[in-house]
Amino acid sequence: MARKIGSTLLFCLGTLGLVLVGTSSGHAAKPGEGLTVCISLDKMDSPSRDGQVKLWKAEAADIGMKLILQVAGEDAQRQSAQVDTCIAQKVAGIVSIPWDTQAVLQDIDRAHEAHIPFAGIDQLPAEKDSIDFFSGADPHADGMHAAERLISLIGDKPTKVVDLQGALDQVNGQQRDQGFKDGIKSHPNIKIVSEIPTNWHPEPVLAGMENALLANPDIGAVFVASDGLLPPIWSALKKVNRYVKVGEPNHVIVLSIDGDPQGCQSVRDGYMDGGYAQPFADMTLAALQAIIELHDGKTLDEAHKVKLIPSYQYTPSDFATTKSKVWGCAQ
Amino acid sequence: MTVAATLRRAQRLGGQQYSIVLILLVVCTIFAVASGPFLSVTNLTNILLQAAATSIAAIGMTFVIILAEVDISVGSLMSLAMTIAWMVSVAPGQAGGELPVSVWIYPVGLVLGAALGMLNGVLINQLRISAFIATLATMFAYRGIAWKLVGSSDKPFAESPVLVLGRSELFGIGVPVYLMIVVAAAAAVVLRRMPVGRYIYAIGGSQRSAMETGLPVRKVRLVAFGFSGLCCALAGLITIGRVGVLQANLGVGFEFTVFAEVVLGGTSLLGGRGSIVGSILGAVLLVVIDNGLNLLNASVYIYDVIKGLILIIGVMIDVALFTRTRPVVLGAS
Repeated sequence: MARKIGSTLLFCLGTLGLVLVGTSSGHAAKPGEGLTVCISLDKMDSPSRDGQVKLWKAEAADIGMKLILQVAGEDAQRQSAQVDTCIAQKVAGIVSIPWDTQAVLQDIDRAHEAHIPFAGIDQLPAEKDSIDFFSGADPHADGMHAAERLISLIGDKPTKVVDLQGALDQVNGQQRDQGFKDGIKSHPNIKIVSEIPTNWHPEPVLAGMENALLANPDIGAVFVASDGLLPPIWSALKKVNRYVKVGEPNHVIVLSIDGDPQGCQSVRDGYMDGGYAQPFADMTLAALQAIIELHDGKTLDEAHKVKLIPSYQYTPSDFATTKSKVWGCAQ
Repeated sequence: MTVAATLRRAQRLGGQQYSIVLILLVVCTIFAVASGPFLSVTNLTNILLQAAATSIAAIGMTFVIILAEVDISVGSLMSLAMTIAWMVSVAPGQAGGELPVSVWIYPVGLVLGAALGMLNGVLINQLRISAFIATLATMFAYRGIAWKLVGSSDKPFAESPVLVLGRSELFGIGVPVYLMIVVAAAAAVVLRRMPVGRYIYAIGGSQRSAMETGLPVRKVRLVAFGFSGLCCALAGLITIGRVGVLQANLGVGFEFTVFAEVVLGGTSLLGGRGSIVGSILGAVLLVVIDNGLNLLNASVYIYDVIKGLILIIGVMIDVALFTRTRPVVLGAS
């Protein structure tokens, strides 16, 4: 009896051993698999962040990485405290979209003291040398490209423009705006007749558009710093019967940046003349790969520590071929 | 009539309204001189339309502040009420793009607004905590629930009843303006002519005295907060109807705008004093500033500076000319 139990036990142990050997030899761990990475977001109340989070989750699931998502709610102190929590959890790396590009420098220092790599996306910290890696779009270039598109559409025709700015304390919005202004600087036929601070909220956009259209009924173009502000623009244009498609009489040229679902739909339906889709998928992947390499002890080439990826232009005429690069068209 | 006599008369009649009228006249005169289209009929109706939603919210907040309470959850409340109303009224089985929304968004939104407002009152009554703490808690909670329910993507509307309220016109004036007038008139009647209105003033003047004389303080608090929530929901319906989309950041920072309007209108943060007309004038003044600066294409950095300055000037005029503790100014040495 004892021999029977002993041989059964031996058989079971042998089988278990074979299974374990088989498992380990048949599954080579992917780079980054099993790592825990902290994602520190500045806010969560915009379609952009919504789209980014979906991409984070998809990329992390693909790699086999665990994510800890933290949302600061537009509060630099809260974001700082959340970074401390991530450090205490001894995560493999931190990826941040900083709310305050100056305050994040302290967070980076504390992470480095704990030997945790710190990457940034979307909003570059005030001192770019402080961060291990950064990937983002180039907001100034996006604004310039929108200006080039406007120039190509109107030529020498005198055109009045409404400029709808983002938040005055956010670098991306301001850089987009500055890029647009720099782009039209040498074209005196283009005149910005109304600059409206929106703080990324739709209500000031609607009121501002209504006021601008009243003061200048012959508005020819609108530059807007984010697709999230498109609905109130359409609402104001409908009110004065100028919500018409590209190429039709009375059309108002609209150029916007982001590439969110609203922007995608507006270009697809033929109401918006040009959109600039942020390269969120590329930014996300680049940041996670940088964290993996840094965690493995590799050092990143100084020249490639800051990776600015151009946004993708998409227009009604090339939408069929460009839509695959617009993150908002896939959501 | 001498200046001193005029000021004494103004004080008796509720001087705070005079200071806001004075500021409004000065600001309008400046913009009228500087910008041609400012005084056009189209622009004046535009100003009223743009002020309608926040005016209605300010009317509700006036009840709460006269009661010597405060509600800082108004923006989050508006967001949550609109979010749930949207979920209930959107056509089932549809996703993405512009969604048709049924008329149910109106009753559901309004009932939810009133209920969420009353919940604030219940928390203050039952937990015996200050209105500031209670509504601070619900400000976070309401916003968080709204985001949890539908995420932070935009919810655009197809041509549907929800747009009617925000975009329809009657005799060239937007329907929201008529709504603002109706709500203001009803609120003024309640405050001045009905027992509950007199209770609100009495409790705001001295809650202790009101309790000692047997006034139904807790019930009145529920009414005030419920009405404020109802007004916020109506403001939300107007806003999303005008904008054409329900966004996750609907109402963010709204509480500051509404406070500024009510305070500019002369309602005392200490309670017991205030008027509906004053709050509406406060709302109109803030819109006039934005409107005028838009028409002048002013620097984007100057908007908040001007608003802040006018808020301070308004309070200073109120204190200097109409507060009873400053008899010297009134000429009664």
